[in-house]
Amino acid sequence: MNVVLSKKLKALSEDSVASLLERLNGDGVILPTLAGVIENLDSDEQQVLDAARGISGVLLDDLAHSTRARMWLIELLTTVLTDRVATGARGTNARIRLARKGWLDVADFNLSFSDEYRSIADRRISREDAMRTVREPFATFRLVLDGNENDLDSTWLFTRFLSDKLIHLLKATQVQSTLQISSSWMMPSTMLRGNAEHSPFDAFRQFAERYGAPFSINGGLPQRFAEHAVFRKRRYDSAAEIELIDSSIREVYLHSLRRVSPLGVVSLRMVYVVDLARYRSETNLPA
Amino acid sequence: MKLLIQERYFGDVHYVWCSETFDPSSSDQHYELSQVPASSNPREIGKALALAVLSGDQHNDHIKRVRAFYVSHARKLRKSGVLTDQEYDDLVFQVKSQNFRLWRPICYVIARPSVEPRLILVRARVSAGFGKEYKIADLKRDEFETMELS
Repeated sequence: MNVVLSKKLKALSEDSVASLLERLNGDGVILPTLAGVIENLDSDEQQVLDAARGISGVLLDDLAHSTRARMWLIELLTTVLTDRVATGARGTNARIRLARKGWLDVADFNLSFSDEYRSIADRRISREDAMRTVREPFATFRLVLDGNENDLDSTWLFTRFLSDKLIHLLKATQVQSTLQISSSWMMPSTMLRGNAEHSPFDAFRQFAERYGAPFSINGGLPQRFAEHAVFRKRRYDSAAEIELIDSSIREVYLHSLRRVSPLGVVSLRMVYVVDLARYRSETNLPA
Repeated sequence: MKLLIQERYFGDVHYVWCSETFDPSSSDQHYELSQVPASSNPREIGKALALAVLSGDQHNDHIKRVRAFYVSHARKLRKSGVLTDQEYDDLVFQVKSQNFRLWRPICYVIARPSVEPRLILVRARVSAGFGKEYKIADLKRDEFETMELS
């Protein structure tokens, strides 16, 4: 878009720009001719048209009869209006409101990387690749604790095929309208057992079954992945909520979503512990 | 995108242009039904839009026109007080979404008897050809089914 033109149009009211746009575009169906339309504009609309034409040099005749010229102007006026909304404070506030309602498309979130990501990042997967997995995922999954859809700080899981043989798994935490990328792994796509139409949640389960270290929850049976666990935490209970079975494993990454009710009921979701040494050696990654 | 915007901002009431058949070109050429040209043929529009979305064609005229319609229409509704400032901003933000897949074509399958009295015949001046085209200004969500076109 022509920057000079947009600056000039900035001085004009949004209502005038929208009004001219409506005249040119109708209800979204291009008219065979604008003859009779552009001759009868009100003064505000005329001002907008003059500003646009003054910069672009589009002739009135072109606008009346050329679809291409009209489409150019329609796009320009649309951009002027959408840019005013999408940038600056208005854009930030709209993004937050939409995220709060659960209406913000995953492609429109702001992205950032957490400190946790920096410490465990798999260097073979670049940040650009990680962001691409969020922007162009193969599959997404939003994990909410206790089925609370309105929970703003939920966890998102993404997968994307890096090649025929490798799949990228990524976890991000939603903080208002920002998705903070917190972990990123890769695994052979054969581990999905031919299920290309997988859910990222199941992909993470397969990943944990392969590279996870066994753990127990609240003294329970050993496992490598816990979808959901609920138990009552007593005040003087010394048992660890999540305990690693094999204490010789030195470097791990633990994930769990945790919530405690006012009555002391602990709810854990998606618990897994990655054995980092095993992950690195089995995927041939230097420590 | 259109379905989503109508659901969220216009009380799930839908403004649609429609044709009497999904693919007028497949009708017998002696009948008026076949006289709807490609630019108003739901199947052809769907095919073109699906291709545009698949190839990430940001310059697709159909998408530009629908986006322009929503932006100008929303501003008009803001001016008349139907939408609040915040609703206007939210709507415009959404039609500018980075997710281009939101523009993928979805065909509405409408049972004619329930909408017959509300069918508006499109004037010849804006109609693409000799075949009949209709508009419905207030289609309710329970009056149509959706069909993804790919």
